[in-house]
Amino acid sequence: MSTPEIILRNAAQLVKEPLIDPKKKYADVNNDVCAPLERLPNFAWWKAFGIANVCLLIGLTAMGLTIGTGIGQWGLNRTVGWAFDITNFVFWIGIGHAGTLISAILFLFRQKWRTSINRSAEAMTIFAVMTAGLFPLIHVGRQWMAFWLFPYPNQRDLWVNFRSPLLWDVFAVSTYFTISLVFWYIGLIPDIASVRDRAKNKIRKLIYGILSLGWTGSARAWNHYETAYMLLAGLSTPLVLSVHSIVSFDFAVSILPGWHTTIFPPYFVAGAIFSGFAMVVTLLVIARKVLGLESYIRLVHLENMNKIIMLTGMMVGYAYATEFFTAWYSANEYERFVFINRAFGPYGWSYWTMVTCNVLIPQLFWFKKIRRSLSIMFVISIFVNIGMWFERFVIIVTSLHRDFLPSSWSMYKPSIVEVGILIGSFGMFFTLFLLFCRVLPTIAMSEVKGVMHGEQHGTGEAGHHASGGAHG
Amino acid sequence: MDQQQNESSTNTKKYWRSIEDLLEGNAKTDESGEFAMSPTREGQSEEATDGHSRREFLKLMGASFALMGASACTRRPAEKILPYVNKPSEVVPGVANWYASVCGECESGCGVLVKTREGRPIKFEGNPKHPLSEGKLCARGQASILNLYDPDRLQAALSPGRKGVATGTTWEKLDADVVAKIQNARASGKKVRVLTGEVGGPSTEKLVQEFLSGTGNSKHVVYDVLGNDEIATAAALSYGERVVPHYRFEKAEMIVSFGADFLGTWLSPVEFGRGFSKNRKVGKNAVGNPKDMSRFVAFESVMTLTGTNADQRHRVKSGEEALAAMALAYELIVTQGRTRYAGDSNVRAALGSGASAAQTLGIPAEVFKKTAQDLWERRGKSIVVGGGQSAKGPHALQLEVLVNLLNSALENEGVTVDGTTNPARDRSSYQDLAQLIGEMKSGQVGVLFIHRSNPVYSLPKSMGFTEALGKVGLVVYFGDKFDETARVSDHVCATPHSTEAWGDSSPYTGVYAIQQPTISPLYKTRGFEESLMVWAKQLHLSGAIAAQPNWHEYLKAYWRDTVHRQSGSGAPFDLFWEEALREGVVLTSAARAQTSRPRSFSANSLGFGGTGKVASVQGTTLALYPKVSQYDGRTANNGWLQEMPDPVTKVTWDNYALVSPGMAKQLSVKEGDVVRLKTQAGSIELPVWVQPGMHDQTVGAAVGYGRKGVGRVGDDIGVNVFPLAQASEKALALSGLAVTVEKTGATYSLAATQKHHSYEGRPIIREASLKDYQKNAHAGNEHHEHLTTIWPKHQYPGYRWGMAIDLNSCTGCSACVVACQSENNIPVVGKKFVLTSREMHWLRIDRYYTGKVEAPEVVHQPMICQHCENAPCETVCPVLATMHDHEGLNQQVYNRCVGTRYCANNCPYKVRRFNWFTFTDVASPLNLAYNPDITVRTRGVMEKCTFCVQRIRDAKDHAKDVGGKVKDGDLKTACQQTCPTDAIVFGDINDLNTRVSQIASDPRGYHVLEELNVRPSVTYLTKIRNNT
Repeated sequence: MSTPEIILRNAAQLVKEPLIDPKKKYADVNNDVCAPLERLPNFAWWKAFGIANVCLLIGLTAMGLTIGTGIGQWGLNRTVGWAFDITNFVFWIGIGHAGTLISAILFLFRQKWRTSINRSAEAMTIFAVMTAGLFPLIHVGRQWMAFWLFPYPNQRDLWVNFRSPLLWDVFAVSTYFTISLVFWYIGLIPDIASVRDRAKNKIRKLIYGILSLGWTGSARAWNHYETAYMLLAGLSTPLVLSVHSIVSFDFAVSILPGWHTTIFPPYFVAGAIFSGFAMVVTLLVIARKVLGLESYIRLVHLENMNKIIMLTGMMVGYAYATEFFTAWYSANEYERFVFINRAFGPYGWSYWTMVTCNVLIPQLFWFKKIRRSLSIMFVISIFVNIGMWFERFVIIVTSLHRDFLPSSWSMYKPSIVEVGILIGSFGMFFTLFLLFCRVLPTIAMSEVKGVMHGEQHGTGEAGHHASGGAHG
Repeated sequence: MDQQQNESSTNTKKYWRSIEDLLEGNAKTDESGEFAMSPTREGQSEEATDGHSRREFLKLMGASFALMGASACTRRPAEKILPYVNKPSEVVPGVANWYASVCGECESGCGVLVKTREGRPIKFEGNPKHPLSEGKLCARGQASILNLYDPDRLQAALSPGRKGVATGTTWEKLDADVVAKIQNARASGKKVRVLTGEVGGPSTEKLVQEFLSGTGNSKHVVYDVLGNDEIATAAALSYGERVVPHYRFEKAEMIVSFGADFLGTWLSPVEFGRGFSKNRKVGKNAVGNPKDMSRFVAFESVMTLTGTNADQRHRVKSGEEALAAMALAYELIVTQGRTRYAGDSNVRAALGSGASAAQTLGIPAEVFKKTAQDLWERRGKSIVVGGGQSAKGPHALQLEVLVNLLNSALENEGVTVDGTTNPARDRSSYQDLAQLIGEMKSGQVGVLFIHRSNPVYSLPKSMGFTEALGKVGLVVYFGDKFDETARVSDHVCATPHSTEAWGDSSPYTGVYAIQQPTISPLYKTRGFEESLMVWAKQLHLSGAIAAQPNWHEYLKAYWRDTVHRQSGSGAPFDLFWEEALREGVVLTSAARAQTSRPRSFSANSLGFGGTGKVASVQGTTLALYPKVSQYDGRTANNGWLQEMPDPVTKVTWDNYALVSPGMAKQLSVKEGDVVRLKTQAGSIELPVWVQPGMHDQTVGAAVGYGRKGVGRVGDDIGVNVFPLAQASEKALALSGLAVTVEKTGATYSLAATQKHHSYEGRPIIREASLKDYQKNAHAGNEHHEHLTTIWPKHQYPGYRWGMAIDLNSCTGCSACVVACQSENNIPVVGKKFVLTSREMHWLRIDRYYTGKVEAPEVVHQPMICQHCENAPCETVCPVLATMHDHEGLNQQVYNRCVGTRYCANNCPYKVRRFNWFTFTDVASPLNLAYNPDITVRTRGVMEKCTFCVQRIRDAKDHAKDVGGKVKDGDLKTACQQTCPTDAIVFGDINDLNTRVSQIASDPRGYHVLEELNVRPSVTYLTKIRNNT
């Protein structure tokens, strides 16, 4: 083989895989993305929506039972005060991390591949945080008094305890939710305007008209829009890191061996990104198929996410190892015991489930074939989600059930009501996500146009201008 | 069935909440608001004719509750009772009144003070002036108040006519029938018999005698299935007089026990515990020599509470306790040739079989050698006790005789064993019972009264008591439940609780105490004595019975004629009587002098009255034993006691077959496997509990379970094991019973509050041997954390409350657990929730084992909120529901608590308790037992020990009234107050002169988990074992 040939071949490898099917035109984007919004839902959607609703109903029943009679409906006891409730909370907050990471951090890092997935990832974030937010409210003994966690002025001069990590949670989660929602909504405005303009019926036009806040697509509007988007991206970025750091303080600030661990903040953030991306993969593998968006959400996007999953999976694995090292190195007998008990005690099975799902299985992504196999990545993403749920379960339950005084050691067994609430949380999440797929564009049309192959634009920002033009 | 009928006559509310109730949404069927129900209302409504308007007035005017105390007994004429010393002339609402009385739960007769609020008894505490209790009470005494408000108590007389149906009747009809039947019996020459347990009151005894002497051919038979027949019989053999001696543990520096559970269930555990602990305290907590303590060696089969407190504990197969006593006597008298009997050839001959006893028992001869030496060194200052139910085997009498020999040989007789000021516990006689059953069977008994005894439940079938009842003309049962014996009786006389009736007691010669009612009867009940008085009148009997209008006057007359005279009091009787009511107890001059003389031991008694030689027992044996919480099962419907963790096993709500780890291995059973126990008398099935320290060939099973007809709480809890007892001509054997154990394959869940029994070598328990301690007071407690902090410390300008708990004094008796429950309105959650670790006790006693499973060393550690200075719970509560106050209390604000449970998670001592459901919505009138000073907590909030903040408040208010600070010792937490061994001391630790500060500064003092720098306010003192 001659040298030029080799150079040519290598050069061909350097050419990036197109992010959008090169055959697609600008006009196709709006047509394809808006299509699911403009036709009646298909059978697959109804089926999924039905199942999600049943799950939600199960969850609501279980929650009703809990609120109506008492937390005693759960399997908790004097030793294990939290289990499924806070596990679910942290799990869903973790899921809610990928969205903002994709939309804000990847945006700031000029990762163009984010454009196809950021919308649905952000939607997922919003719904996951909503689901997560439910748990702190229902896990308290007197749910009707849960509003006392907010520092509101009152005649009785009662105030909250700013030393409590639970209170920090209240702020962290509500801030995160607000910023994510605003960020998501700002990103949606040009697209909602597109839907409005395509609307053939008055009511639809009115609703999307209101939601689009009178978007005209003028250069001036785009200019302001871009600035706002940029600022919000900047604002969201630290939140990605702060929310889960603060959630981890719930544990790290306590004195319980197995909880009182200084590496928790980065470890939790890595885990959250890990699980968040896994959930995005799970959702998009299905959504791109059902919504017919294979041309926009392509293997390259999924592969990129799988790479991140692998990376964060290894970070999480490193954190697991570090915890054991620290426990040994600390020479603290309580600390050592907790970790030995974690791996080899009565809940050892959950620990090894966690390690298998989170550390071992994602290693398969070293193989490009697997990274690009829809079915395998789907299965792996599910495993990662299971593993990350168990990570929180392991941290919470194994640390609590055998702490300082052996006389109080106890076992926790979940009740059917708790399982019902877990099912219900999935029901709630999927119900919301499925509704989202029906009423809002699942792909950021305006942004995608900026990265379409063969078009001249180099940056994401420029893309907005282009889409603005197309829109006009 | 019957129970439902019983329930229909009582309230329909559940005692404790289950999920099912909550789902059904049972509304609160409260007929009487918390204070709306004046305790006098029901009892008065029928009988009082002129009281109506006044009662209305009483209801409206809180202050006039005073009168209610003064006229607590409602029958006319008014019967005056008086509260304990220095009562204000009027009852002030919100201020408790205390009345001295006598605890009616067992035969010990501890003096109590009944705390009443607005006329309502709410708590029992020991009477500090009573020589037995000295202010202390046991768990069952503390729980007594709940029996008063037991919703399943009989509320009126019944005439079931032996049909097992609770048919109601009126007292008039019942009286007419009883009187007619007695007259019939008298006419036809049939016998009248009264069968009772050990009723201690001298007036009661006199009344019974007078009543019976007027009814012709009659006799009072006393039999208590857990009585001490063999001790009295042995005393008759050895010393010529049937006596249960007064054991004085406070004078003993060396204690040897053969099976006697004297700290838990044997004779008078409060008094014994108190006495025992006096010589166990060392260092700054010591009563005597701060560098020395008594030594306690136990030989027992079942691991009892007492055994857990032994310095050395040796396992003996049940039934072979006498053999162990023989081995010791042989070693002391024959081998070592000590004591005045060493030269007595009769004694030497009688002890001959002791030569091989140690070998037969499998106990090293060294043990007996050392024990005998120790005993001899401390002769006259030691005590040997034996007996108790787990030693009520085939050689029970022999054991007692040998114990008598040892005590006489060791010159303890007349010092630590006092046969002259004996308690009135010597009446129980199996012979009499057997004779009675014989008479019943042959149809000679016309009328049988049964009081404080439940023979249908407790006697094995082979004795044929139930069949014999069928041949009795009339069976009249006195009781507060439609229980086993009540069902086969003609009439059931509903009896009042001890707080509703007059009575007296004489626990020791010359010690008299009055049981005064503190509330008028809640229901149409009538006491045993009152009934006898009524019938005596209708029978036109003559004598003192006729001279007195009612029981109260009769009692008073007895006191006038007997006690007043003996007391040597110069005061006129009326003043004497008032004083006696106030103080609750009168000591005659003889009793005050406390003289006792040694009885002389007759070596002939070593023939054991012809009951056979001391021999080994073949095969596996069964020991039936009473539990601290249940005793013989009489208060099975008491939720506090059912839920009180057994001090040794920590199991609640059940009895079980105790087997050693060795036997469990051999039978290949584990905890919860159901086994079948078969003795000659019968067979039952029980779940296994693997108990370290059990003898490998002994199975233990607790009596007092499997009751029927006691109520919604206690019915069918556990299994009745009395049917396994073996009746013979001479005695009823409760232990040493040959038994076969087989696995059934079934399993059963036992609800234990503690599931891990080792403290894993963590520094939460610190202990040392006495020798090491004598060399170094810091022994076992050398390591202390010296932690610094960058934060400013809390300021405690006035008081700072703290506590010291001496692990060396704590016996684990659990009186504090129930006292805390009573004081702080702590709910009972039921077995289901104990199984899921949701018990609510604010005070628990952690029990840890160390050493070998065959012979574990045990430590009991009371664990409560430590009121940390840097409390981990306080920082994590998002709503500031738990806070630190300026007196060092860690406060829990129930109103503010939303129930995140974060505080409980972060509590390293795991003492916080969460209300998983609404547990406080109890059946009326149980709500009347609530302490009005304490909030009942709703579901969803956290609770925990408050250091009895209401008592602190009260003491501070009082100090403010009189000016100055709270005096050390005036303020006691409920747990401290009742602790028979004074293991708990509470007070101001800001003041270095208080007792708590003194004790806490002992070199033995340490904080549990001090390395966490939470700086607890509770100091523990190391456990010292005198075992080397």
